Amino acid sequence: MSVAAGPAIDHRQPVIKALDFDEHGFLRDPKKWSRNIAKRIAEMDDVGPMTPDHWAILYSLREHYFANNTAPLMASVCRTAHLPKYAVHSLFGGCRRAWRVAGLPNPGEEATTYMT
Amino acid sequence: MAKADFEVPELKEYIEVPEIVEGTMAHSKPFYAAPQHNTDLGFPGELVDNWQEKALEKMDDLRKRYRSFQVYLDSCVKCGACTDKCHYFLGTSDPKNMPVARQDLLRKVYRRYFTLPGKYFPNLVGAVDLTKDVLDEWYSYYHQCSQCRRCSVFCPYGIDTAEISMAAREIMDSVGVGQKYCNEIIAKVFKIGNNLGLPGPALADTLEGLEEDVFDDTGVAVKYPLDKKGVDILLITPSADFFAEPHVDGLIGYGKVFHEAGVSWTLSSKASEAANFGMFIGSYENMRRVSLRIREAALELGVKRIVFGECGHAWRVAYSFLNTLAGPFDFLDPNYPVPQHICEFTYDLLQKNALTLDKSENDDMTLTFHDSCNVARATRMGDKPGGQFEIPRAVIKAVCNNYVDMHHETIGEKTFCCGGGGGLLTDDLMEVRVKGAMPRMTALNNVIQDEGVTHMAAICAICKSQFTKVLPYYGMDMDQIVSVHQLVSNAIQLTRKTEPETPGEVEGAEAASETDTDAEE
Repeated sequence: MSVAAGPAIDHRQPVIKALDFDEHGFLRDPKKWSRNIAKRIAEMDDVGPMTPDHWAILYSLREHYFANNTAPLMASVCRTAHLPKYAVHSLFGGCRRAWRVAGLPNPGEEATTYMT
Repeated sequence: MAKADFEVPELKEYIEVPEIVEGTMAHSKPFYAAPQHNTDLGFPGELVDNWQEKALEKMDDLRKRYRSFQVYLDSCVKCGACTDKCHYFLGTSDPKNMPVARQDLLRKVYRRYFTLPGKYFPNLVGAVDLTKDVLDEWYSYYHQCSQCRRCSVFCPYGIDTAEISMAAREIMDSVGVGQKYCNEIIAKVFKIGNNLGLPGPALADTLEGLEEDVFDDTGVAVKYPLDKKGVDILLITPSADFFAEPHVDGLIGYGKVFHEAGVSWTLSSKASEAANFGMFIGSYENMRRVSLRIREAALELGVKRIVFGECGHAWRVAYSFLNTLAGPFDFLDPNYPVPQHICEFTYDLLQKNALTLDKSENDDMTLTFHDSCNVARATRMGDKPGGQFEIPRAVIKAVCNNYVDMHHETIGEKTFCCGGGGGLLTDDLMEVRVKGAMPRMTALNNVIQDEGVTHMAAICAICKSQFTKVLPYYGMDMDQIVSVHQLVSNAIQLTRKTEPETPGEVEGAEAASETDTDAEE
């Protein structure tokens, strides 16, 4: 489990170098996300190797985010992805990491507090 | 075990009073609020030019508005009874985290400007000028107090340290020095309706998902209604209940209890938050503004009762202040407590044998209960003294076979704070949160080792979230913290196969409402 501040960003990687992360390690503009970027962030965060289930979670997360402009209940994300209730944790080791790999922006003080 | 860039206290058999280490937590301070978040709350965006003058004006205003505040500043005799009662002192060893010393950071300024000896002989009475260094020290140490009021239990004068911390934060806010976590969140409540910033459609989406989950699990269509008019009960619950584990499992439990009770109920997208961080920053005006949403929602929805979900400080605001902040609630049914706690609601049903429960559903756990500070020391439940301790335990024992209390010096009115209350539940204060959790972790570890406890239940969103993050630092598992109504949810057998009717929606509405009352009486 990572502590306090967001994970370190390896700016030497060309794909990552071109991106704009905030001080907590979240991508500022979720539209600048691609599968390639997701793979690079996942590598940085020791997530993976990426499987179809990982992608299902990421797409579900992004779908929920763009529908309501907010962080959803992770169980709902898993349901939309047709995966077990705790899949976000088992696949990504926590919803904060999944959120980051999904290229979504900082969901705010309280949401990050409740994200594990 | 979670990684930490600070030293995590070692758990020993007993909670030892540490040797003091001067200034060891002087570096700790939360992020400052952005100007926008301060102004949203009616405070100056940034430190004002004449901040000393303004701060002293505010202190003068507060001592005149709240007689208690001045009494607390005047009456401390430095007896030392509080020194080793604070979890932050026990966990950090910083002498300024002794409640008396933390209070004195403000008291010595009060003495300098508002007492005769302080005005003329400041050095003799330990009075100091209000300088920028003093203000910075306030910002650091008044954000190392969770306003839990454990020290007050032991104070022979009954000095309420929380009130001093609240006043200090209010003075700082009034000169433009706000804390990011609290102020950003309060602004979000005003803007969107809850701390998490979940808009109505997101709530509806989540609740629909819960209905599907419960139906899949039980085969019964338990409803989780939003903004439904004309129902009996408005449920006000922390927005964490819509967002994260184990909170949401508690919400599932409330819905099942209402379903079995045969009462109609709803959540509100306008008042989709029980929490009231206005209290943490000591701001009456903001606390009132947050509270008024509940009144407005209750009136708009035409409910007869208000029930609060599992949230510690929200229950303090609700139980102790709601009537003066947002009352009178003369439009609610006077036959029920205004407001009522969900534990009281469930307990009433237990007294009437109105729930069918299978305790063996929780046999995979041995439970203990963490009394949350605000519930324990600032409120009550039921109609007997100590109900706030007895009722949650009675609910747990009714749904679980295996229950053990932690050491008696660490529960009840002497309960240790989780370490994250009072507006400190932010990642930028992780060090003080982890260290401040040491006394509670010690007591928990002892019952884990000696009694085979596997899980700890709580009725506060902050406590649950704090433990979820802090338990791994002490080598425990984040899943070991559970909601009380999660346990109820596991054990409850759904005997009513259809949704309770909403009075007024169907013919014979009176009959329906009578049935509801019967079910509870």
